[in-house]
Amino acid sequence: MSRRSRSLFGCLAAGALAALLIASCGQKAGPVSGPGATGPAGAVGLPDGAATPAAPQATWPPQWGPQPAPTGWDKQFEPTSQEWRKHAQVLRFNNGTEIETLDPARMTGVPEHRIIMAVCEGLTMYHPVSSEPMPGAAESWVISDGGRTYTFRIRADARWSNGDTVTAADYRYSWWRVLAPQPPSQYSYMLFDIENAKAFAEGRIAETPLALHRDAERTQPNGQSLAVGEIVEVVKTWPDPLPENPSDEEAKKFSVEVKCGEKSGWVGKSLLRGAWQLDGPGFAKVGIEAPGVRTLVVRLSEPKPFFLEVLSHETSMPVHPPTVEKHGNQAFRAGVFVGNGPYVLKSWEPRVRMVFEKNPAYWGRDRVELDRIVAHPVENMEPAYAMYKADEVDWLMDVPLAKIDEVKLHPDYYVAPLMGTYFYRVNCTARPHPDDPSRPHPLTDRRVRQALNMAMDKKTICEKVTKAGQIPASGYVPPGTAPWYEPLQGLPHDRERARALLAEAGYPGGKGMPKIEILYNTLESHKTVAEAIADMWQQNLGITVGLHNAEWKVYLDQVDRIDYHIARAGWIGDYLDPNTFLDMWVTKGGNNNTGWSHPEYDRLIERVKEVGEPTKRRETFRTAERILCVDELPILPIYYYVNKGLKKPKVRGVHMNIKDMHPWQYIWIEPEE
Amino acid sequence: MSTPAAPGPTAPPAAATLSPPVEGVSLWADARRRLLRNRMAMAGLVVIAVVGASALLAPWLSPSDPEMHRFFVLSTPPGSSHPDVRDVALFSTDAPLNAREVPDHLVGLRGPHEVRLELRRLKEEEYRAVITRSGRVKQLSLSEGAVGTARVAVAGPDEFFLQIGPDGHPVASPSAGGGPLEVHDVTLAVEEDLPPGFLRPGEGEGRWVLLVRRARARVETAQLRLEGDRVSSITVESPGERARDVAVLEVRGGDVRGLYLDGRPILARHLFGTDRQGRDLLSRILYGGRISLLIALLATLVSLVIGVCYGAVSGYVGGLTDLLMMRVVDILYGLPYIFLVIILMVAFGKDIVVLFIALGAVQWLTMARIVRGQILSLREREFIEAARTAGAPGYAIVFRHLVPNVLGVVAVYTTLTIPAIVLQESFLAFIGLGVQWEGRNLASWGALVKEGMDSLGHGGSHSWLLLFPATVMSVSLFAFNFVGDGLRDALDPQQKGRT
Amino acid sequence: MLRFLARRLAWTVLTLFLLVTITFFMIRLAPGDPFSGEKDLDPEVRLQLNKKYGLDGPLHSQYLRYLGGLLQGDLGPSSKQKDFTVNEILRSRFPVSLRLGFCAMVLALLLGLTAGIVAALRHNSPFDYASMAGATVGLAVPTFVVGPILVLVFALKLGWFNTVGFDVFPRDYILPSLTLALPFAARIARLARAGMLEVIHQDYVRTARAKGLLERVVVLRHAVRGGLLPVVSYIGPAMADILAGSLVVETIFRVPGLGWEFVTSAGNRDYMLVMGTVIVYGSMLVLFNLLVDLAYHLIDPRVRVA
Repeated sequence: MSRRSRSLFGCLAAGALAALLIASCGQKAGPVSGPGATGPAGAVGLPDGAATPAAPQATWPPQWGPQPAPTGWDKQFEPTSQEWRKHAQVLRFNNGTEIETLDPARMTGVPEHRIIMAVCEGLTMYHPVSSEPMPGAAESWVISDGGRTYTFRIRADARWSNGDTVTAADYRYSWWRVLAPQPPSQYSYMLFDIENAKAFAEGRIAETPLALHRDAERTQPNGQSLAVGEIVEVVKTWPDPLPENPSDEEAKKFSVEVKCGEKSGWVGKSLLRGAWQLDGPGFAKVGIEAPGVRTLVVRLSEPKPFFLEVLSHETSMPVHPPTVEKHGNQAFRAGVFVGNGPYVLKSWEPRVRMVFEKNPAYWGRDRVELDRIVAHPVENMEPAYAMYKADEVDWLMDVPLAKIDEVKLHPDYYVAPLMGTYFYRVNCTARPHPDDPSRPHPLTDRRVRQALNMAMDKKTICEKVTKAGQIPASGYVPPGTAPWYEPLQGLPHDRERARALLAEAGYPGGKGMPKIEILYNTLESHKTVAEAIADMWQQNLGITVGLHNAEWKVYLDQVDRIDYHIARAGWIGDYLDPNTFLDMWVTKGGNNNTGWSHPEYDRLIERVKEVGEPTKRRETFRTAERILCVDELPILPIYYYVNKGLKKPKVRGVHMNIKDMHPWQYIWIEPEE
Repeated sequence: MSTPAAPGPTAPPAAATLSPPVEGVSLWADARRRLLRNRMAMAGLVVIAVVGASALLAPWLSPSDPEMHRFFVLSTPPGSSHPDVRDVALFSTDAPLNAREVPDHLVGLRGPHEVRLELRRLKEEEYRAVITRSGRVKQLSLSEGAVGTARVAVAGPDEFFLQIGPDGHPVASPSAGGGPLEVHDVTLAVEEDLPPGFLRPGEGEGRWVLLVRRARARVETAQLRLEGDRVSSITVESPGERARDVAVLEVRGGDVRGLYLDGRPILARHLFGTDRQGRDLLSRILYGGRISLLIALLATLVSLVIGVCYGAVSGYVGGLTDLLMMRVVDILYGLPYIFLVIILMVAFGKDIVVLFIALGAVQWLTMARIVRGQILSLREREFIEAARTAGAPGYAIVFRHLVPNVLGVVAVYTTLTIPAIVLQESFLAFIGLGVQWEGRNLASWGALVKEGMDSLGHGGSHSWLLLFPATVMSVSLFAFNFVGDGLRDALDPQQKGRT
Repeated sequence: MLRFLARRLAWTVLTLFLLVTITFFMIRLAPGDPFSGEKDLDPEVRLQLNKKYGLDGPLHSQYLRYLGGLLQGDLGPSSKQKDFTVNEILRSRFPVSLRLGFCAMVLALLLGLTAGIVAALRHNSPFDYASMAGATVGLAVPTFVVGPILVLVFALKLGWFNTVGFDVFPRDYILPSLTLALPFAARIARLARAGMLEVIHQDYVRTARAKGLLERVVVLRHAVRGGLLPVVSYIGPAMADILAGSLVVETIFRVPGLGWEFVTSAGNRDYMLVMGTVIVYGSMLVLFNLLVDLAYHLIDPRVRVA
């Protein structure tokens, strides 16, 4: 894997930079950087469009059928000498915010992910260089049944921090917890690839006892509230009997008298669902089985090339069942929390710091070098930067934008690609022109959207405004998302064509265009980008552009209701496949929020699910992305994100990767030279 | 300002008859006399007049549009200048030039003229290399965001040539093989005058950061012929190529090194420098003054009117009314005003009007309390007793006897309110609730100071971005305070007849 | 006095009740909800979340439920810091803010009163001008400029303090408290000076002087009493402002306090935590005002407190 990336890094040099990176870094480039070098051994490459010579053969789909898992621990990433033992193995980093929770089922963000990686271990974990899945708590797995069945073998020496053995049943319990309605899990859909998981989560598995689904409030018989998930017994229905096959709308009108122990009451039929007990018949139908203590079998509803990656995700992390059963909500605190990761939570002072210490029960304890990790939750970059300068933290994962010129001169500054795109959404919902109701709104005209895109000088934005090394984007899928998918070269910056298109659409020189507002959420970086783009559009197209700065939640609300003209947006991929970027733009997709609808595009994305053949798959994605970023432009891509920060050279073993995920086991402290 | 200066009614007859007889100098005339004698206050008044006038006349005084981005300039220190090319970005032979597209120098020109443009077409790329004490290249990053360990060869113009040899050490001689880069211009990102090839010591121990900007340049000359208000021809000449006529010429700021009209260069000067987006700081401060002062004055007025009336009535009437009224104040005070502002701004947009109403609506509470506090202690005084005995109605006692007597404190507090509101506004800017008006971000002084603070490097870079707005803001606030003090001394009725 | 106190306490309860009610409905009026994020949320999951965090059912019944919880001292769960209840969060943050506020207030009074009284007594002297100029600077420079500059100079350049944090007394307390105190010290100085100048020429002070009392006695026992009324009435709101103004300071110095919690929770629409902070904040406010009225009572006996 790492070799491939390295060669890609070489490829990157093609194009404008070829001359700079002299052949020495080219194809052969062996592992120069043992642990001795701070420089990441090989960044995930940036295939540079046409310049990519012989893109590595597509690796999708993996060879189905029984195959052994990769061996796991990669010696290459361990310290070569014992030199590091002389130094205090303490790493202090800024996590950027106070984490929401330590409960894997309920967590959603990246900062939470960094923390949970320290205290819990999924069946797979991220490879420190490529971020592809490699063995975690599972020592091996077998994929069978055409990619539908995964059989994991859990390590014999995997232990919880209290000494208990990590069992397959623990994983089953944890995933049940994610799928059952309590506690509500925002990311439960991550596990919906598993057979019947979605149906179970929604209570749609038949032949199980009925339970109250939601809104128990309305049932309150005799003032006693029935709780969600309580198993109930149907006493009487209205009308009696209920008609066969009513529509969902109709079904809501039917009510049912239910009994639950001593309590009883009437509920709407739609409130009754299958029950969610762990050992009930409903969950038995879900494709998660633990036939042995160390064997976990997972059946998927259809083959998913990125399922192993899902297992490294925070939602798939295990919890210790006895602790959770005993302490409930209190189980996720220092002193109570039990995890199976390389570290244990020593103390947690909210808004101050979290301290982790090496977990002596961890199976790979001999390979864990850091004794202690301190996570600071400083949100504001100014004090965080001051902390770095005063040597109070060793690693900052972001830098203050306003001081970027100074920060770039700091030797510890690093920048690397990230799998994410910064773009603007355009409101494409059909609606009339505000000044002239007989015409459609200009933004519904794709020529206008193309004009807006081409009138943006994205290179200038990256070099003069954001300045941290962001990559101008004319496509939507960021480079490095998949080795077989190079970034799309979309519409170029071309002011003349932009003007011509605008004139063609009936707004020569911007005449007749209503004022367009850019909505962005309150943040300095969004503001400067929006101001620059507004200025470019005004100068290049002659249209009037306003800015609308809204507070985060207000912004989200407006985007959700498609109540904007142009809205700033960003998307970080969930897994290493273009699908994570492209499937969101289907008609009425949950994250579409532009009102854009394109039957051909929908068809293509639907077809991708069935297409297994790599070139075809790639072509399908390519056609879809072309519709998105060249023909239709419901979004205006601006730049691909980078991860940037400051890291002391003594922090070793951190390899920049496209998901910005750095397993703690690989990191150690050793001053330079 | 105008309120105290205007000659108002003198002390009412009821009170006057009971006061010791004085010369026929009215309270206000006396106050004016005192104010004029107070040098600091007068100086403050002058400053306020200057600041007020410049804010009022900002559109005429400011050298450029405060929102104009100049990506080719970015932040430059005070006094810098560059060719003013943004507005001649496009000449077209078939459309008449309108005033917006022509620099002032060209407006009004009639008859044939020639404009000569010297262009430099630049292709810039930035590289960043971290070099260790021993000179080994540790990390090379490219502007595109890639990172890797690599050997780098950077060739400069004739006098500067740097190549990192195979052993990772810089070699100070041109390499035979491999071929040097086509680099025409290498800029070291250093302030000091370092000899070519030497690197700026970075902040880490014994390590350096080399920022190399590689620029390929090609010099071209364009000749514009102006006839009347039209451009009749554009000729572009590049070295080694034949001169060619073009219909459209795009001149991007960064590409232009000289713009000549009859041999004189046309330059844009930035007296106070430019901000990180290349916007003229002086213009921004002038416009910022407008916004800050407008918000402060209107909000103060709102708070003054409501606060004084409310406090006076509450304090004078006392009893249950006072209690009720103060309870209302307490309740409003307890409301987290940031919510008030956020909710108001959400409901009505982040509009400037919303902001000053919100600020004024918060400030009057304190004003009311202070006035009430004063009135509480004043209402037991003899002269109020006297007025009451003389049968003066309640409103007359409050507004003709009590209120003038608390004007000293009110004036002092008003001068505290104006800076307070300017600061409140900057506080809102700090948490991201900057003012907007008709889809523009309004950069008030507070917002400029905040921007300056954010930009201020730990090594003191970009200091002008903080220094100028902060100074202008502070001096204005100083002025308000001194004028307030002067007013206090002048208006204090207790001192009347005692000097 | 007791009756006065009892009545004031009754008012306090009413005030807080109104405060709770108004805040409850105001924050609910604001657009956005606690669980929205950049990624779309399944409506079913949203319903479950609302249920879990007590945000389901019609607004009025939520309100009643909240009041019910409040009476039992239960402020509900936090929807953003999911592992903690609002009670726990407030219990850990409030003392921090209080400590910071108290240190700042003491510093502000110390600096402000000294400067203000001395300036008034030496009216028009260089000290007067200097201290008033200093006060103006204190008022004119925003906290978010003073704070980072103090950090830059004392923590980064001189290395006397940590850049951030609020662990060790007094080392970690000095910079934040000073940053927070400066504008208030300036205000207090100005108010004290204005108030002192007012009374210093009044009859009772003249009488006191005429009686041949020592200047020190005149100032401390007579003049200060009347002259500091504006300061006293300012302390209540100042304390509130300090608690609120600590927001910026808490951000700069990363002090884990109430102000910071309050603004983040408002931004996150963490309704229960917003309510909790507002209640604590409101209670403090009413309490301070009560104390101010009592102080008025004691300082100036002529003031009849209704």
